[in-house]
Amino acid sequence: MSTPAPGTALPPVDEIYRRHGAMVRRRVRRFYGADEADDVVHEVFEQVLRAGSGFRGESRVTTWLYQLTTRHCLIRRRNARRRQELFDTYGAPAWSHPIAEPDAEARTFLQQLWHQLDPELAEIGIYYFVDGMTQADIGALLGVTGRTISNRLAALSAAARALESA
Amino acid sequence: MTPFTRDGHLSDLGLELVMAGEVEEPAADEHLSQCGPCRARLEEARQVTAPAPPAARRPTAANRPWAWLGAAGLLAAGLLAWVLVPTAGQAPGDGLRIKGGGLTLQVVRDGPEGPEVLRSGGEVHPGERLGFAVASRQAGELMVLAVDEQGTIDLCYPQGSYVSAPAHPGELRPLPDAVALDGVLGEARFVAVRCSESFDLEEARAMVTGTVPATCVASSVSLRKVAK
Repeated sequence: MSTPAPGTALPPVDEIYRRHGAMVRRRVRRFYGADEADDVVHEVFEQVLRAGSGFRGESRVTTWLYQLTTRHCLIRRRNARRRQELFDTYGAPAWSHPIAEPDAEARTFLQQLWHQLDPELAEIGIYYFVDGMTQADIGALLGVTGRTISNRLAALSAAARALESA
Repeated sequence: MTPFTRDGHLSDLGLELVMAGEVEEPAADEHLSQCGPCRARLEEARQVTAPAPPAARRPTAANRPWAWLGAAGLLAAGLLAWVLVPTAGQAPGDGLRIKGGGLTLQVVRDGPEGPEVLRSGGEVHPGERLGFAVASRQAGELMVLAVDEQGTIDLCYPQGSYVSAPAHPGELRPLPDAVALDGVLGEARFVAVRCSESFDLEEARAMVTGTVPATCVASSVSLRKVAK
């Protein structure tokens, strides 16, 4: 099976699972340890069951699922933080070890800021600071312009600097 | 979209696109042939396989007062087929409290004689399986919770995510999650909450025990859980 080209419908979930389950697991492991990752993977595919109609064929399944997984993990972590009894069971996020050497802004984002941001900005921050993606690619992934990403990153950097100087 | 990070290495997504055969740029292969760290990341990524599929997994009931059945189990049990079938003589929505925002919650029992839509005040028993359907006049975000006699609030839908799921406007729709009732007897109240914006479990719990904000509506069905 080949991944559908843009403009095509989403394949059945079991087919997506066979082809992309490993990719989702790898992405989840950026956010969660091995003991919890598999449960999160299945939560992501429950989201696929529910959100499949949201796939408009404007991107490939790989990129759509990558974004869905990232968003699910971020929201799950945010809510886990709010639920103290769950938060107490978590160690440091696996993604606190980014690909690129983090600068001061990245360190602030990773350690302090991510859970204070709205989900969209946190997601952009993950793609930029943790994944090291370019602004244009983040824009392409989220379906907005690179200029929009630039503006959102500027807001994020200002927030990080304010936090550092506080 | 390029497969590269700002510093010229393959991004996580870039690696995934390479493994999926979706990178058309020869630059990705060229980079891999020259970059040891990225080759190592690629090899490491290839060692990761998908976990066992959901159908082979068991419900995660051990640490919860309610025993949940996931979507896969629900599909296997054929529950989706019966959730929308009202009991004879009972109109859809009968026994439900519908607030002005136009939200209807229906609770259906998987009984020995087929599906049964439950009215508020009806009796249920430990071990019985309940499914849900919701009709929403408006689009928004939806969550269904269960409140037992002891005041414990648990999530019925969407299970496992802790955040609301999209609610689609229109006629009664079955939800892809079901619950199996535990042994706590007394009132078992099921509450559907729909808000205009996404909300999380803690916010939903606050609504169930307190005030529903103006941007949200709720609908509930109260049942009595008695021993068989």
